[in-house]
Amino acid sequence: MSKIVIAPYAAKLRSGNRNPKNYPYWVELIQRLNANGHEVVQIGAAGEELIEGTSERIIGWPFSKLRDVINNADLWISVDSWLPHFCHCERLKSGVVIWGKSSPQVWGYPDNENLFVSTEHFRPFQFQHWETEPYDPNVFPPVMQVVWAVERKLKASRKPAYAGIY
Amino acid sequence: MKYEVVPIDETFPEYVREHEVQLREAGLIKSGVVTLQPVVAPSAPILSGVPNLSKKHWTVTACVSTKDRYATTLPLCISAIATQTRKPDKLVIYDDGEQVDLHTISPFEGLLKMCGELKIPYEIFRTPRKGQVVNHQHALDTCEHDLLWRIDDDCIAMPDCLERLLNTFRDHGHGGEQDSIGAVAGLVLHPGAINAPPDFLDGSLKDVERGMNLQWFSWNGGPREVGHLYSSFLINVQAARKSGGYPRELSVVSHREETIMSHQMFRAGFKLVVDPRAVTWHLRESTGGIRSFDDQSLWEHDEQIFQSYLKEWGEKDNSPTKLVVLDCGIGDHFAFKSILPQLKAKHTDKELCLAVCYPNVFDGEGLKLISIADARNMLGQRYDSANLYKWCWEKAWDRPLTEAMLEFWG
Repeated sequence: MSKIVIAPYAAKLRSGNRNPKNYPYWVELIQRLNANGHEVVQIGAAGEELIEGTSERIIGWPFSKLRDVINNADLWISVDSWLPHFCHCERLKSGVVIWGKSSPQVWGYPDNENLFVSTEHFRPFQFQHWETEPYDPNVFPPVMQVVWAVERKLKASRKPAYAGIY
Repeated sequence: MKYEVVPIDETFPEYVREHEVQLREAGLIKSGVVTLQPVVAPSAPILSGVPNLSKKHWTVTACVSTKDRYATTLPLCISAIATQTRKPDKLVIYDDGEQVDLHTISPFEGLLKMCGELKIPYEIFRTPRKGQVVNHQHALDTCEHDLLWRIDDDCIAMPDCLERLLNTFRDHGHGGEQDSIGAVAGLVLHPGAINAPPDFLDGSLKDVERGMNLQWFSWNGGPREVGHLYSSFLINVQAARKSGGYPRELSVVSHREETIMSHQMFRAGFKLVVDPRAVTWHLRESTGGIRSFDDQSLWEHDEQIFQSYLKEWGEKDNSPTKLVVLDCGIGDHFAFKSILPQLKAKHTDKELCLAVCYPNVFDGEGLKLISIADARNMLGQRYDSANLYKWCWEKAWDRPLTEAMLEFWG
């Protein structure tokens, strides 16, 4: 069984609207991951909605402790938020990033598994603020695409039980 | 506080002089054995050929140099001067603008009448339009009073500002040090952006290199001695004359004029004091004043002159500051942190200063951190040019964010 850390939410908008970068299918995704035998841990900031199916919730921890959480996990999954930048800066393991209207070419890192449906969904003005951007659930990859990416990444990251000369 | 019996002389208000007998009979004026010579504090140095300033009532000329602000902030400035709890003894206005007869236009017609009612003599000069330095120097050369209160035409002094400045002039240190004080200033605050001063601000010329000034901030505490002053302050006329006055070689925009002039007083041995209890509001009017000029070469010319002064003063050894403004999300702060080693390697000759929303991202990095509000104060109208996102938008940037950061701040 693998331990997967998720950072499901991008920053809250001042308008109170749903951030267009937030993935709409977390509940179903976590159900699939649980069905595959994986433990899912949610990290984030205070006030964020807790997603059903997670075994542990780590809210508002300092960065030093979050570093340990990521190091002790087998994989992390995030939307376009602070976590990919944090992991890149701290040279932590790579993860899976779910993209909608923001472009991984600008905001992402090539060592992560960057999932998106089509470049046609990317905003033409990537540096526009998000407050007035309408939410569209159709720009996000389906749940199974994320599950397959997770399994692929986990398989690639598994170390052999023994490495040496017989 | 020192109490002394002094004779009623011409420096006392007219009412007191006219009613001296009645006031003495009422016991409100005490008699004592005094000589007619003014009291001199033995430790106070007396400038040669200079009226003794160790007295109890100093006369003040308020001086405003104005350009093209008739319809915006000039009436507010004059109104604030006229309604001070301690009225100036004279108001002088230098008009570098349209030079219309102010008695014929509203609201100046009423304001000048108000000055008359409040017994504030005034004088309005139609200048040769050569900028603030020429005007302020003229005010200094011709001032008949002890102190000159210069106020920018987009500044509004709180009603007790002059009173507090005079109290500080009288009481600073152990009191009686007036002859050694070059100027007293209050806070010059930008409404909506008032914070405590960052720890690294010390009132020296290093703050100018950082683009900041102690007078922009507010603190709980007493006056602080500084190395230079900004915008509006109360000048010891004799001290300023002895120190050389204003730098006449500046252009018509007179950039850095008060910094150079005040620091010259500091170097001549006079104290510059900032009292946080005396407050002036700086509206930073976007039209008129030096903002009437859009020729960047004038600012560059004045900045070069300022740099030459710094060199002459031996202040040029300070490392210039590289300011990075991170007015963005926490993720972008981490993205910036990932390229920080490369940025430091590129700018080994500069001191990095970060304006951030999330200072804890940089814990342990040993970097100078300021708030976004401080950066706005520092940069003023140049703030937008420090905006990475705006730059990326204009360039239609489509490469990684970290590459954008390296190019923008590299």
